[in-house]
Amino acid sequence: MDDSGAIGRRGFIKAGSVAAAGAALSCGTSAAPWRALTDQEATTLAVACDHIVPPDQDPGASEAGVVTFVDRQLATRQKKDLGFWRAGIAGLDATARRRHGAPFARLPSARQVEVLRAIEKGAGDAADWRGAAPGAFFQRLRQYTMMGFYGDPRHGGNRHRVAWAMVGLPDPPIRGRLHETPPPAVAPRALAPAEAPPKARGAASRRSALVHRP
Amino acid sequence: MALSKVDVVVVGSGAGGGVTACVLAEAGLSVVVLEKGRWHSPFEERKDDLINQRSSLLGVAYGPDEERNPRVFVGLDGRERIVYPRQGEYQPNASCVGGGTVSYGGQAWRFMPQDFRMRSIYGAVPGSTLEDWPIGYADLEPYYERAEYEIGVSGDVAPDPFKGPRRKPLPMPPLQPRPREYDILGPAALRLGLHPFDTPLLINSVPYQGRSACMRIRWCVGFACETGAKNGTHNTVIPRALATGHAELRPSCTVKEILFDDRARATGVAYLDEHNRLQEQPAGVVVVSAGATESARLLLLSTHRLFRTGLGNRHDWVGRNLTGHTYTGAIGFFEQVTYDDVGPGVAISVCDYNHGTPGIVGGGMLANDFIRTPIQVTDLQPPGVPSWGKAHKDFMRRYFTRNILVFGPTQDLPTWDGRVQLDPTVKDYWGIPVLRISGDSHEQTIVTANRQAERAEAWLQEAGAAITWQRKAGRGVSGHQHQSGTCRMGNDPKTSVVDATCRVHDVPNVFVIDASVHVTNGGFNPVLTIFANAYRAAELLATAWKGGGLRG
Repeated sequence: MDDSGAIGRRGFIKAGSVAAAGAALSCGTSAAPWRALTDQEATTLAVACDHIVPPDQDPGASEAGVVTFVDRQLATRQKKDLGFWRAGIAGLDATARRRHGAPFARLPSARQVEVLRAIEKGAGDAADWRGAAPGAFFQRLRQYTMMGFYGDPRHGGNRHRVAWAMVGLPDPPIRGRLHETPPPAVAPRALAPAEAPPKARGAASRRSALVHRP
Repeated sequence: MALSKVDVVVVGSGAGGGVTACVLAEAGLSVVVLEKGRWHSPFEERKDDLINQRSSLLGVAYGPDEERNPRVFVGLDGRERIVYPRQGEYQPNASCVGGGTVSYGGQAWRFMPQDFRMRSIYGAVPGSTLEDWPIGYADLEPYYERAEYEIGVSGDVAPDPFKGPRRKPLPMPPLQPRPREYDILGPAALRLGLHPFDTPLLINSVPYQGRSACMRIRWCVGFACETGAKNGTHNTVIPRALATGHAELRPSCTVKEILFDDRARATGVAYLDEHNRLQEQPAGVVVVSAGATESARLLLLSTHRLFRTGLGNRHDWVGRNLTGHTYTGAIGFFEQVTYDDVGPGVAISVCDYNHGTPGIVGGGMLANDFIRTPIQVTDLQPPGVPSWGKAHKDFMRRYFTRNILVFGPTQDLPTWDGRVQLDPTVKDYWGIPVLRISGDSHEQTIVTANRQAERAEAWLQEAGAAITWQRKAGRGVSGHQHQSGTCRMGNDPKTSVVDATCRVHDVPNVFVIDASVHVTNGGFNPVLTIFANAYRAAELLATAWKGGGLRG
């Protein structure tokens, strides 16, 4: 249940690096930081979820930590769904190759959207989709992106509460108990992943949580 | 090995079981309460918007245990599949000390007098097992009052001209300040000729019975309350029962079956304790208060040579007439900011549409909805707005703080085929057959519910919403947190499971005291009716016990 483990932190940083690299295939040479996904799966997922919640004046899905969110879920609570996600991501890539001759993450953005629209409607060659139906996978991708972006930051997504700040949800003026890091002192987008504030506990951080951010 | 005998064993500690245990213990009976779930401490509350009773996207927070308690759901296409507590098809209700009352929204509705006489008012409806209750509003009125005062209700129902007669006002005033939605919807309702009033809530607006007033946080419905300002059985009647010194609560105990002697008199229950050891608890009386799905299951699991298909089931009524509510309504998007971050959110209601519409059977209350988390708004985009991409993000950015939902529980018409039964093959962690859920909505319920959605939309339009759209009724059997009806109360043993005192017709000393006995479930959240009927039935039980009639 506690999602603050060291491996999770590494995944958290990794998600940032995926976004920072503009979703290019530039992930490091060290051992994969992900708990469930492979580097390549994580990259494909980062690109796909950025079409569900794209970056604009506010961060998009991958920058907000959606890949970390999905990865953590697949390593913990939703372990039994790993095969489904793996098959779905493979299906996404296979469909991209079959239609446009390249893996999903390497396609131009407009082509990526075309592929996503097609699988949303359930279109896809049966040979490409073993273990996950295209429509069902799209719905899962959408739902998990929404959860990772708009849901509670304790699960690794919605980093620094960017989604809550975006929709205008104030940090709570009263809280029963402090569970998360306090809001960053600087604008979330300026904060490099490595400088993420430490997990705060105790009276001092509780006081800071009582400050009502405008 | 049998434990020492007690007067009464109560199975379940939710709305029905909690009140029953308190009334019996305070009357001097020795009581053991067996609760399948565990006791949740307010200090472990996590306020997780993805894991709670309202949004169980990643899991349930208050039980039942997800891996140990599967069920089988039969879809409208006849296909069966195994479902888990986080899924709607499971018809989940919380499973913990206090049951659903720990994390509920706490709307505290009395049913209207008409709700007990649906068959007399609307006649026989083809395809429905619609029936009158064997008791009426007047029988429950004193107990409604007792529930309102002993559990604790705030609000102001005085302006509601449709309510049944009542002797006393609610014990606490409405929560102040009222949310912004109240000020937007109130004048609009009056312009439409409706009769709006402050929704009754089992939430303290002022300090009450030693517990604090509500601090108005946004994580209310679906969450436990850290300050105890939300009133359930876990912080009212159960502590009272335990304080008598002759009630004992055993959490994490799963009851397997009711035990009988040769003459089919109940002698107690067999259960698996917190270490999964089989135990027997002998008792003079067995009270089943496990909720409408699990209470029916326990009856079906409890067999005897005189009733081989389950206790109370000689005429095949146990598990049938499963009803919850069909929720419909409308969503309105406004130019001005409507969000004020003040919980619980629900504040204004009308009962103009519960009864009396020509061509419509019943109806339901309409109210503004509980305060919403962002994840709950991600599926509320109006028709024409895509469910993902830049346009959806723009929708969230603009409208998360500018939406109002008006929804209500349409009274479901009970059907013979909307039911739970024991699955022939699937078993739970303990090897006990699980429930199999099947059935469809009655078509008239769909008509009524869709009419409610039109009315909700009209209210939002009058209130100035720039964009509105209706959430129409979905098909399928309904149960969920409002599950009811599976052990119907009636005077005729051939067409009901329990009598008007909630005693199972077949045997002298087993009672069902929860929403299972509801003949119909009103156009309202049912918990106050469960409380009230539990006060009534438990009082009758205590009197019968003292008269000696229940002792074998």
